[in-house]
Amino acid sequence: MVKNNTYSCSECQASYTIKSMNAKLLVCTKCGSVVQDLTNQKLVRKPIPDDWSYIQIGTKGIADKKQFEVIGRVKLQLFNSYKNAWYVLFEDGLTSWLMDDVGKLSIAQHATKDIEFETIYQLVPGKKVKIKNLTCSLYSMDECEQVYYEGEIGSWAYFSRGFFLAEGILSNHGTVLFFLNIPKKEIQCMDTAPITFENLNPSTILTWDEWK
Amino acid sequence: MSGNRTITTITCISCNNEITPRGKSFTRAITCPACKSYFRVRLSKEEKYSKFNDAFESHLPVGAKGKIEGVTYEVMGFMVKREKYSYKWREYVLFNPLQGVAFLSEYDGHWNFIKPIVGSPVDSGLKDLTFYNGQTQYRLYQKYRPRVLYAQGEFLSDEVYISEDSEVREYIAPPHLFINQTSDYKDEWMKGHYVDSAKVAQAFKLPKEKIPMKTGFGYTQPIISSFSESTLINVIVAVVLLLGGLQLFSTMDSRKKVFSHNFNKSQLTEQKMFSTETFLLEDGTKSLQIEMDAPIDNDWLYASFTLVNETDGTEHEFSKEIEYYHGVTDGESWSEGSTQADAFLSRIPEGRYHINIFPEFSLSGDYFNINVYRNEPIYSNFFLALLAIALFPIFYFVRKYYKEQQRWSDSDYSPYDTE
Repeated sequence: MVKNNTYSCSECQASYTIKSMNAKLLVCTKCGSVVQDLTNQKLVRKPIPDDWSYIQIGTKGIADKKQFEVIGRVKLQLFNSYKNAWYVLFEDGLTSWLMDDVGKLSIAQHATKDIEFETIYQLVPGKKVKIKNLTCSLYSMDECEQVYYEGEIGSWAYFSRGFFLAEGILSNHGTVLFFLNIPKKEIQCMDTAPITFENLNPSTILTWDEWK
Repeated sequence: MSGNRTITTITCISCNNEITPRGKSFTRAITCPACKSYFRVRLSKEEKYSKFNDAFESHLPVGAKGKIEGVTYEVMGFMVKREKYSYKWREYVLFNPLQGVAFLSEYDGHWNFIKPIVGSPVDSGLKDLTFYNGQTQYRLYQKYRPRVLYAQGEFLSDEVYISEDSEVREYIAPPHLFINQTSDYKDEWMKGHYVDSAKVAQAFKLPKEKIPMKTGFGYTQPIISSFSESTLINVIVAVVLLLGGLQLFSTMDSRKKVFSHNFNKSQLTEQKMFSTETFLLEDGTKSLQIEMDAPIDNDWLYASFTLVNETDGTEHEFSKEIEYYHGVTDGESWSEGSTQADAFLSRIPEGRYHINIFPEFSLSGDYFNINVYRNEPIYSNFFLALLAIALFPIFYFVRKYYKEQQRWSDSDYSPYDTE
């Protein structure tokens, strides 16, 4: 149900007010039901498996000298690792992704790259490719086995499993993510820039006391 | 299930044992505590499992927590790996929610603490065997394809599969190292450094006897761990500069003639001696040099001296002999000795002094001159100090050479191999 940008979960009746104008998906953080879906992908309820992430919906921080708040998450279970992509809303209304990769943080933005699907798909980690005037060294290629989501989520590469995630480092020290949809032979890209744990407001993260 | 979160449980694909992994959904591979089967956590059912033929002791218990460089890590998993020459080593997978994954590797009681890094550390000069990271040159120590002999606990990636599909290169600049692990899935770099076994025991609050004894020389072990080579060089340069400055200062405070006189044989007293006039030594305790010269020719002159402090009666006795001979033998001229000699007395306090001289003249010698100088610069002490300072670095660098040879003796890429 929707009323003045406020939604209620049909399963558990939890109420949500959409914060981002770019939201494509709203998944109930209480029960995992899909509350609002503008992705046209017929998504199904998939509760998120628990993990040791210290970021949570509501975590606040600063990036590019602007304050942000985490409002949703896409969790990627990869063949050999995991990644959390936290959807963040900046104070100026813009949105971005806070990537959490086993303790390494970065801010990621969708980007258009002048590169073909096959160019990256054929590339083996350790090899290099030219992207415009930069050299990109591929350092990982991992199959996505499952995608989970919760909260408010904006445009995202793929909401279902069946794609590969490749990571490369650019000669300007930036990193880039390539989402490779094998059946459709599509490629989508994100540019990432590292940030540190100190960018997060400590009162809004999970502290996991047993590791203090 | 708790709200939208599910508590991760894993069913062993070998014995159907239900496992609640410590790493929650971060755990990507696990050894079943019940049947010891190792398998990758996957959603599909086709996954295979491995059983290890041998069991190995984990010196750091899985589940133990330890503080390394200010960060508390938990031992999640333990592996024993082997490379082609049958070298076996232990690897411990550590985890901290904020810092992510780290590793402790142990071989023959020598430990390295290792963390993954993003991108390559190669700043410049990549050749087959070496590269530069900043100003430091790293050299390839070993290249191998690891085999996992044993795995226990949990892993945040499928370490067995990744290891056995990988080629590993280790570059060292002790105590630091970089590890490059490449496979069809990853080209990953890790940075590490040597950790003393006592610190590992202390970090995990284990008694030292629970940690394996050190054997041989570790491949990243520093020659001396308490200081760096640059610190040693800086300290030596500072000490030499300080000594040089002190020597320069004492030289600038130049010597001063306090007494001079010509003594003639005809003036000898009944006691066959000369007694000088009183002379004054000032400015605290300083050195004294007594120079004696005589115009002798193919002759000798001997004298014994007593320096007398007129205030407290303290005496300093010494003697000197002058010999000077020359001639022509078989058409070649020769000479030996000289017409002068000097005596050096260190640390003579200020006061009023005179010298009693007891000479023994030869037949031809009639007179001699005496000059007394205060505050003669002592160069010998300076050079002795320099020699003493040089002994330690000489010992250090000789020892370093032999230790480096020992370090590289197990490597196929030793810079000490001349063949």
